[in-house]
Amino acid sequence: MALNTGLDQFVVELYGTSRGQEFGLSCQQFAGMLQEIAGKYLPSQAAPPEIHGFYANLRVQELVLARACAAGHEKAWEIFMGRYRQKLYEIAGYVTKDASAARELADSTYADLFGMTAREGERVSKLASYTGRGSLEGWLRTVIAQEHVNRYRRQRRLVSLEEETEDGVQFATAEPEPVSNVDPRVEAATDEALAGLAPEDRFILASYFLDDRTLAEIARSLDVHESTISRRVGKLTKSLRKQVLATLVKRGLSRRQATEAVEVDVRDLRLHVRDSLQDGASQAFPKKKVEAPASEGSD
Amino acid sequence: MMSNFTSLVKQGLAAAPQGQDHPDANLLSGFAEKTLGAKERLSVLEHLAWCGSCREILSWSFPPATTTDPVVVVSKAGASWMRWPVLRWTAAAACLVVVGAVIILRSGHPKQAPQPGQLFVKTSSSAEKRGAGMNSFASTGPAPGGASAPRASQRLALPKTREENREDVGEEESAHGGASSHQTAEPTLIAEASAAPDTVPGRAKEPASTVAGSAELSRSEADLGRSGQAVPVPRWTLSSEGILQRSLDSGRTWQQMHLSTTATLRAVAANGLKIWVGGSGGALYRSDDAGEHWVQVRPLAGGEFLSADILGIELVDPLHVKLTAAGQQTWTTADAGQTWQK
Repeated sequence: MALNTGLDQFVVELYGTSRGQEFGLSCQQFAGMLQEIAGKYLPSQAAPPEIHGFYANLRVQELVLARACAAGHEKAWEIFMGRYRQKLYEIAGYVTKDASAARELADSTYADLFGMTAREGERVSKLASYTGRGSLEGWLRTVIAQEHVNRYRRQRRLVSLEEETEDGVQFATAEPEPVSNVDPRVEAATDEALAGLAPEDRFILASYFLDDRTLAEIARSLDVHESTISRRVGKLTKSLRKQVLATLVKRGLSRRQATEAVEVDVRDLRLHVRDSLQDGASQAFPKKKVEAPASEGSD
Repeated sequence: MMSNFTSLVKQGLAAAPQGQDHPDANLLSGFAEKTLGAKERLSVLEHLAWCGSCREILSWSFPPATTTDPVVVVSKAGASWMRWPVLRWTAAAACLVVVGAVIILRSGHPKQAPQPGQLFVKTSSSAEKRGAGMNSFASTGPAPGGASAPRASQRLALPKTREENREDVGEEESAHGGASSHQTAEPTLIAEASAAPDTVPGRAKEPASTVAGSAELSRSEADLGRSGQAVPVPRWTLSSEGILQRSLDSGRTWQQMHLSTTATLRAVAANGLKIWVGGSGGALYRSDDAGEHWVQVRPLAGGEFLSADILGIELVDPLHVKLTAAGQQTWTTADAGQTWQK
């Protein structure tokens, strides 16, 4: 009971910090908002200290601003426009690398944020989904990136056939599958080695070979030094090959046979992994907006 | 023939588990800004390992890198230059020269007992300080270079009185809007404690060499001697009674830092202006401004607060801290105390 009182008091303190009063938000509404967010990310039986810690990490000022904007509060929009309108264009420019595309993307995102669509008579603003886990600017950056990726995929699918014909593009048949004469043991060993990768290792390899990210970019994602990533990429590719060879030898191949079956040495492995991952790019899941074109992927 | 292995790796890496939900913009931006807890971060990373689209979105979630934006360095200092024998020996020779110069200078200037009201000069070695016994602050660790040692007869500014210090602290607190309204990003219970430094012109309570778990830490001993002048950096020590002491003049004078705690402080670690101090009953405090303001940190892991005595603190960098506590407990944080692992 004492802890809940402590938590309530903390919520009141956070309400004061959030300046929700300026936007006509009551303390109860604010508390309800926090509970809704906690319910989304915390387990249902979270202890008060955990909830306390979670609340303490939220960006309550930005959260209240975003929710006030979502509710159509004029003053909130004035503040939002003053702070983020220009940033929207800058972010869009950074993402698209093209001025006109950037403007279009920024305007479209702004419309989503403003809530140009209505559902059951109520305006639907994207800002209502901001939960204060990170900065509002960072969230906007991610939202714009998501919209860009979705647009790009939609455009790829909607290329006009007539336009392509006029451009002289002939419709090729589907690329024939290469005849595979791979020893199933090699295939199994490779799958096993790849399945054993830790999430972070797989992330590094996929980012490096598949996404062509630089070491610095990968390092920034994982909050480590660039040299650490460099060492890990080398170590992982070496280790993959070793694992595959060891598994093959364990399953009855001689060392020489295994090496021939794998067919690459460490230096070539890097190149091959890159080549192989390129075709497997962006296997998106159909559940959300980011969808893969029908011709990509298997199943 | 290369395509055999190529296609195998491609198939293996491209095969994606079905039914995975994409993390929303809040989680992705939280991942980019490192505001997620360890479990959530791992969950997002597991998804990113398989999903190229989300990796692409994540790459744009970071602000553009600037030339002045350093990559976060986590690795400990394992100075590679030390591998060069020439530099190693040069460094050793330079140390010998500095020590020799100190000895020569000292032998040319007889020690003088400090007068009342005069700040105390730093001495060049711990042994000398211990032997002095009177009116000198002991400090562990290597003394700064000889050029930085002031002459014994030099009269320096008198320390502020306790009342003057209290006024200063009060002004700073009100400038910061009062201690209670300060919002921190700590997931554990936080109370901001004001430190009322108590300048002690006399000797330290006891020589620092007898203090258990204490450490005198200064930001960069290497700064001293380079320019030939002492560069004031905060130094810290703990008395055997568990009171934190700070020096802003390279150990000449020390101030007692009275944190709002009854705990006996046992361990201290500093990195520049950031300092962590811990003690009995899991008492843990952090300051980001060389002890002007303090924040209590209550590490929480697995639903349990740290309640054991903190015996050691290791500050790898401003984000990574490792606590050693009684009962062979080790607590670590990778985000400056926002979340903890046991």
